[in-house]
Amino acid sequence: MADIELRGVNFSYQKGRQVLHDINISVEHGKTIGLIGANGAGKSTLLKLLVGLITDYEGIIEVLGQPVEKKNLSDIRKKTGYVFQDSDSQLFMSTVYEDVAFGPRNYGYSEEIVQKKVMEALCKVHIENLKDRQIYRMSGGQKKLASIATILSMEPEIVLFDEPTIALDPKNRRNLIGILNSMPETKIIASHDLDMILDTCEETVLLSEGRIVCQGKTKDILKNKELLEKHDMELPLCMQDRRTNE
Amino acid sequence: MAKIDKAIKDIHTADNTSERNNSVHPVSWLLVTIIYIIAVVSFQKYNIAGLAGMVLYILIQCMWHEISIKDMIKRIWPVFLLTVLVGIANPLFDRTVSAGVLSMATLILKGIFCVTASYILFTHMGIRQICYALRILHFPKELVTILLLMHRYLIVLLKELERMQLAYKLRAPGQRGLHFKTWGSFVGLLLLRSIDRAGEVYDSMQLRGFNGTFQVFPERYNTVRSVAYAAVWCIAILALRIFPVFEMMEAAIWRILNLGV
Ligand SMILES: Nc1ncnc2c1ncn2[C@@H]1O[C@H](COP(=O)(O)OP(=O)(O)OP(=O)(O)O)[C@@H](O)[C@H]1O
Ligand SMILES: [Mg+2]
Repeated sequence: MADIELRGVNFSYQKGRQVLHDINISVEHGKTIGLIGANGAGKSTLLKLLVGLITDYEGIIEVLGQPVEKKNLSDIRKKTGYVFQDSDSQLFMSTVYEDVAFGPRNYGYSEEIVQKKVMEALCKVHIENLKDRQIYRMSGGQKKLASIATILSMEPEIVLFDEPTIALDPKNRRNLIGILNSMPETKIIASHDLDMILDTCEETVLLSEGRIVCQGKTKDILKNKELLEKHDMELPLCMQDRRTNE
Repeated sequence: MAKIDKAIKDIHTADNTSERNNSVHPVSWLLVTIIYIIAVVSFQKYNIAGLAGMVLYILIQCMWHEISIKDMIKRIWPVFLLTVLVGIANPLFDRTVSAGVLSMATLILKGIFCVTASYILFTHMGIRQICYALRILHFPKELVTILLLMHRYLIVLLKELERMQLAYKLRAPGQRGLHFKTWGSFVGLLLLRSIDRAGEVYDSMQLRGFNGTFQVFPERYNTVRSVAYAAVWCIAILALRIFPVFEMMEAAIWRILNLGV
C-alpha cells in the first residue's frame, strides 16, 4: 500500500479559480518524489493538502492509509512532518532547543527522552552547536536547518519539504542533499532547485498551472529541455551546455 | 529599528532566563502575585498610608531576586504614565479637592503596585509557565490559549514591523520616521501581513501536536520550596493588608510627638 495516495484531487481557494486539477499521485513507502513547477504551479498547496492545513478539497487523499479529514488529522500530523517554505513561519520559540523540543513535548514524552530526540535531530542536520542560539539572531540558512530539525525530532514516517534549499549556501546545500539522501522516510520535495531534485529524487512530478503534465523518472524529465521550457523552467545547471569564455 | 530589535530580544530573554533557573512552582508564583494584587486593590480609596505598606513586597522581591529598579522603571514607565493619566482627573470629581488628591494618589499607587507585581512575575516565569499555572488554577483553556497566542502574535507583529520599516527606510533615505500620508496603508498592511504570518505560525504549532495544553515538567520544581514560598508570602501579604505598617509607624511617631508636647 502506498504511503501517500491522491486520486482525482481538485482544489480552489476561491470559487471559480481552481488551483489544482485532477491530481493523481501515489508515493510508495520509503520513496522520494520531487515536485517541480514554475511559481504558482500549486506545489505548496498540494503539500498543505497532505497535512490537512487545507481540507475542503474534492477527490481522495490518503496518508498512511487514512483519509485526510478532520478526525484523522492529529494522527496523520503525528506521522507526517512538513518543512515550511518560509522558516520564519515554522520557528516560533526563542531558542533552537526549545523549538526542536516543542513537538516531542506536545506528544508527552518525558524531558529525558525529549532531550535525546532533540540532540539526535540536531546532529542529523549538523547544528548541535546552535542548540542554545536565539532563533531571532540566526541566518536564513541556519534557520532552514533548524526548521528541518524541528520536524526530525518528531520522528515522522513521511516528510514534506517545501523549497528546502532556499537560503542555503553551496556548502550547506550539499550538506542538506546528503541529509536528504540519508533519510529513510518517505519524502516529497517541492522545489525549483532542479539540480537538487536530480540528486535526491528517483521520481518526479511536473506541475503546471495546477495540472500534472508529466510524472516519471527524474532523469528523463529533467533532461527534456523542450518539456521544461514549455512549462517555464530550465534544464538543471549540470545538464546545461557549459560555455567558456575562451 | 534598533528599538524593535531590542524589544524582540527582551521578550525572548525574559522567556528564557525565567524558564531555566526556577525551582519554585509557577502556581506558587502566580498565586502570590494574584493575592498581592487583590490585597492592593482592596484598600479603601482614602487609605493611602495602609496602601503604602504594600511597597514592602515589591522592595523585598526586587532585592531578593536582584531585579534592578532602574531597569524596571525604564521598561514600564509608559504604563506608570497611563495610571497617572487615569488618576489625574480624580480631584475634580471627588467630594472635596483634598479628598480627591488623596484618592488620586491611592489610585495611582494601586496601579503602579499592580503593574510592578506583574512585571516581577514576568521576570521570573516565561509565558508558557504562566499559562501552565493558569490551567492548573482552572482558568478556561480557551482563555489561556488566547493569552499564549497573543504573546506569540506580539513577536510576529514586531518582526513584521521591523521588516516593513527596513523596506520603507531603504526607499526613503534621509526621511525621519514615516511620512504621515503612508501611515494608513502602512498600518493596514502591517496588520494584514502579521495576521497572515500569525496564521502560519499557528499552523506550524498545530502540525507539531499543539492542542492548547502546555507541557511544563513538574519534576523540575521543588515542592517544599514552592509551598513554603507561597505560604510565607501569603501570610506576609495578609499581614501587610491587615496591619498597615506605615500607618502604625505614623501613629507611633505621633504618639511620641504628643508625649513630647
Ligand atoms: N491563501 C491563498 N488564497 C488564495 N490563493 C492562493 C493562496 N495561496 C496560494 N494561492 C494561489 O494558488 C496558486 C498556487 O500557489 P502555490 O503557493 O501552491 O504555488 P507554488 O507552486 O508553491 O509556487 P512557488 O513556487 O512560488 O512557491 C497561486 O496562483 C496562488 O496565487
Ligand atoms: Mg510554494
